Amino acid sequence: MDCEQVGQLLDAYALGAAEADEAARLEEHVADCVRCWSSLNEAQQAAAAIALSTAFQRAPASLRNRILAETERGERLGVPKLMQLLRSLWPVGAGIVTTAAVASLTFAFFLQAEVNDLRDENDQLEAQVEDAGEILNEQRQLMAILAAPDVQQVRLDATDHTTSAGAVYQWSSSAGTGALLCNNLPALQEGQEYKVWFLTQDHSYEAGSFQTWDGIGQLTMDLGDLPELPLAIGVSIEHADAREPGQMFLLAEFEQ
Amino acid sequence: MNVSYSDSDYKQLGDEELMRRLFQKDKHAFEAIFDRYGDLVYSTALRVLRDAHLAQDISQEIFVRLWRKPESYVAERGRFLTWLISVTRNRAVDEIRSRGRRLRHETASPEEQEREFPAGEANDPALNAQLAEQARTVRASLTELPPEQRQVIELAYFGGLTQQEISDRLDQPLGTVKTRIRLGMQKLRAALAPEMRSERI
Ligand SMILES: [Zn+2]
Repeated sequence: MDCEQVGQLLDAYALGAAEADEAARLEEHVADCVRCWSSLNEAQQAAAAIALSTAFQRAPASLRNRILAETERGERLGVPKLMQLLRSLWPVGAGIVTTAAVASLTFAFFLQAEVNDLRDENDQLEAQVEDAGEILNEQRQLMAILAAPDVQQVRLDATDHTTSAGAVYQWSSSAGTGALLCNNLPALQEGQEYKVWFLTQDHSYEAGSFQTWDGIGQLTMDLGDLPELPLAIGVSIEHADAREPGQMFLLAEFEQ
Repeated sequence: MNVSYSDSDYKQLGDEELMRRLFQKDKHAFEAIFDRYGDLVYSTALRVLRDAHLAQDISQEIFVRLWRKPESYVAERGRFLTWLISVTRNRAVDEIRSRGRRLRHETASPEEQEREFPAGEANDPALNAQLAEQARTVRASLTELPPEQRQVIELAYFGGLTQQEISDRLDQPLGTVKTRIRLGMQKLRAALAPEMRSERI
């Protein structure tokens, strides 16, 4: 299609009245021709203006409510909101493993429902499903640990006694995974993150890092990579590129 | 306490600035966009679909997607309002096509359409002042078109018919339909040129 043919078809195209094959050929030309692209832009503005000629009706108030409610619903997938939920399910006191197991089950089901719900929508929401899927995966790992017959746990205490931050590390040797759940963490500064370390007599091995939302932090880790049995697990606040730990913020020693 | 201040602040913001904030998931910006264009989107969908429930569903879909995927609007490709209206119209037309619905007004004359969708009300309660002014200009220009030109334009735009379908429907040669569309749109573009230069549409 050349410029002249495009010029003949522009208005029909802008009105949505071009046949599919014509439209495809026009689009092909316009993609490479600035002059026709700008004429098309003009035609499309004129076409859109036609909508203004219609008799205006007020959208029902219920529509506004529905739409705003939808935005709330979508938001539940946001990580901070999920973390808030996790916090509300945070187990306190004795019987921690059982409570945590139940809590994370509930959490996982909730997430699964969200994901299914999203997949049913005709909207393209891959990114959000991916986010949720990632978190869901972590929860699955966590559940695998908690459900393992050999699950063990240790409580990490703050080395600085002015903070109420604390954490529980749970792991299963048979599953080869561990999970750290932290609460009441202080907010980080720009560029910082929480890093988790396994400490031996002579070495520190970085197990991963995480950010905190509203005081909550969580990390699941693969224990298969550990070259030696650690003596302790610690959490420190580091710049993202730190390779060696500084002062431990939370610490627990394993019973040998 | 200063809610009313921030509300009126948002009302002052231009579309592009509101969209910029929408990218940051600013709910106030989203509400401001809905309050500015919700009626227009709904009315456009209603005009195409002629069914209040369907029009609401489509409007909801459009706005929810705008909230979730604001990046589907690319500022470099044109004005926000043009984009929003086009998305609405196209989505509504898709809906008709997928339902294989036959619209009563496909064959209506401009006079009949005028009765059903009266053009002309200056004090549209549902419109903000600027949009109302643009609407007046557009209605006046459409009214000035020869009826047969206006008819083919409206069949295409609101009826979702292609030129060939219009030709079949009206039992007019395809060439005649094409000419009417071109002549009518030429006049519309000329009449709207000042509006478009001010980049309000
Ligand atoms: Zn060209």
